[in-house]
Amino acid sequence: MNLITRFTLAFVLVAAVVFIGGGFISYQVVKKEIQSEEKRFLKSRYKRLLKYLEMSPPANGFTRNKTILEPVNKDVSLYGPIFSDTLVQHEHFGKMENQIKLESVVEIAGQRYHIIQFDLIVESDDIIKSVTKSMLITFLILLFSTVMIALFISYYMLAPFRILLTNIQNFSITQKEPIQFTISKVKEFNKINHFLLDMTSKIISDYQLLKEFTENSSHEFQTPIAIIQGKLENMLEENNLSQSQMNSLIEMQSTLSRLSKMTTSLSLLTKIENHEFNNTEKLNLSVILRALLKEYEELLILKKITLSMDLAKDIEISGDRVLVQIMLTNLISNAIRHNIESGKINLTLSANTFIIWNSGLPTDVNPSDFFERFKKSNQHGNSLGLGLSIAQKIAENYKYCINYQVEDDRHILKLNF
Amino acid sequence: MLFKVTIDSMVKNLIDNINISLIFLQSLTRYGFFIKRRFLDKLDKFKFSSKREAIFIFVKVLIVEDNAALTTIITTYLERSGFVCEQVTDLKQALEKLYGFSYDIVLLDLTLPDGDGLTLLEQLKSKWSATGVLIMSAKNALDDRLKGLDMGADDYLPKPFHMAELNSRMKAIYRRRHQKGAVNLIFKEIMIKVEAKEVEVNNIVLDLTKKEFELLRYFMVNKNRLLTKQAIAEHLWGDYMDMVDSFDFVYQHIKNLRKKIKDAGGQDYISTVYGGGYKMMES
Repeated sequence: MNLITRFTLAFVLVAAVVFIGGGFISYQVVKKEIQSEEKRFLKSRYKRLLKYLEMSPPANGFTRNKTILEPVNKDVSLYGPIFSDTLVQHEHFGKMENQIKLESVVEIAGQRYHIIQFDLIVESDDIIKSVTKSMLITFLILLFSTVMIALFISYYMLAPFRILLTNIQNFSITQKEPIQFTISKVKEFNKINHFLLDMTSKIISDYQLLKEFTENSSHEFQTPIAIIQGKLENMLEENNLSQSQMNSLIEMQSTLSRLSKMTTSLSLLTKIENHEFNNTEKLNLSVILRALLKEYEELLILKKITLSMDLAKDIEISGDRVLVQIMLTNLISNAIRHNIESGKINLTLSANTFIIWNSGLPTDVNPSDFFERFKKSNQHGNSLGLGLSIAQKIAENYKYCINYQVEDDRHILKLNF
Repeated sequence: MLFKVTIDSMVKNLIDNINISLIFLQSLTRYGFFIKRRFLDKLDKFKFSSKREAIFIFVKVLIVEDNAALTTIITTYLERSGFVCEQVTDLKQALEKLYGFSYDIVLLDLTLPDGDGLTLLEQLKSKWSATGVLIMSAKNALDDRLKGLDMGADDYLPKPFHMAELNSRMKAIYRRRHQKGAVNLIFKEIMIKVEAKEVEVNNIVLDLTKKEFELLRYFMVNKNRLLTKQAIAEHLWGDYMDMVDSFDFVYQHIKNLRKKIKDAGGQDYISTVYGGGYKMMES
């Protein structure tokens, strides 16, 4: 529900309540007014009757024109005039109708008369009907104009806001373009626009800096590492090295290589987090998997791992080829690395799931913690502890669901795409 | 061996000197240019001479890299393999050198103080298409790698790299480009027919797996050099293997390779440098 509809709806709701209340009040007011008017009218009739009686007091009573006059004895006490409601037979229709009645006993020229006068009153039903009718019509007019105004506001006055919304929606951090806006006559809109322009420019420049930093850091690290590596290699070539010197040099070399791989992996992680891989294409997962497994064939033989698989044909997903390959590579090499002697690996690929399970050691670590950076279950000092983090980040990037379970000696990794 | 090295360096110096005087001549006359061409042709013939064996001496390399320390290391290492290296630190100097001299291979860094190495690659491809290009870059950006190879670079080596790997790739480029590929690597009685991917020991064809072949080739192009297990593992498996047991696999492969060579009557030239790695040398 958009803003203007909400506003309109709220307004209409409040208006409805007000109109119902207003209707009730009008009803009361109109009813009171009518009643007092009727009383006034009856009173003036009563006064005219009294004048008439004073001028020519009749000997007998009479009943005419909604007036009943009857002479009464002296012992009837004087009262009135008092008003009350009564039901009287209608003269023409013969139907009982609600009427207002004036009753009094007066003494004129020594003769006491009992006077009853009555008149038709406007019934509450009628008042309610007419009040409801007028209220309803007014309400409909109001409703119509409210909707018209709402439409007008949302189309013309809120146009800058709508444009802004589209611009925000289209804003992409990788596009290096701050949000564009049109100058509006409304101060608030201009304020928002300016604010957003500043904010997005800042975001873009920060993002750019971050990107440059990650790229530079991984890049700038590699050259010094390359130099150390080269120097070590040149030293290794020397003939008069002692055994321990040799060992130290070799160890330095492998530590160096770990350092280099770590920076590369970390920068890869950052790049994935920054959504820098946008070459989305249709990928045949089955084909990619088979190609990858070929690379591992020899490794599996050397580690005496039995590989069984059930790969459906031509399963397609869309994504960046390199990223998807990295993800699958990491998953497979994880299954190989954390396997046991003469272990097993099983791969299943179906329309929207990829399951890889491998035999392994039971673990106390919560399996989902394996996705955290540098989290390792133990022994494999040589692994970086980044492989699964990278795989998870890639999965997250494409909104795939990935989870890791350990059931006794089985490590199961499920990927839903 | 020492003697051979001395001869090598003497010949190298001699040729360098001749080269310099030729270039001097060339700058003086058109005829000088003609002489240089004739001489270079002869030199090329000498480079892959008898038995169609690949010889890697006087291969001229231009290193375009702004880090002097790295350049020195590369130069030291490559010159021991018979490459003749010249160094420049930026694009401008590289172009000056390229206009003045001819090189077999340009070793190109992508991030240079005065621009992107890819622009130089473009010019190399249009003006000096005979020159091989190996890109070495610290930028591990995958699209840079693909772009470089798409634009016609012969190979791409991400930093940091093992010198033995660089050596092996440089030789591969040189062989592909200048010796039309159909040249053999020979070490004593072992001969690798690179094109056919065959290995012969005493004219008996060995039955090697792909990895064993690759391993032997790596040893042959890096003969007399210490190859650490790590360098070998990275050469054979690239990034796939970053695990401890890869070293066991290296051991396994070397064991098999030794056995197969011995079975064919060959001698075992691969010696184990205890704690370090392996070395292929004439014992």
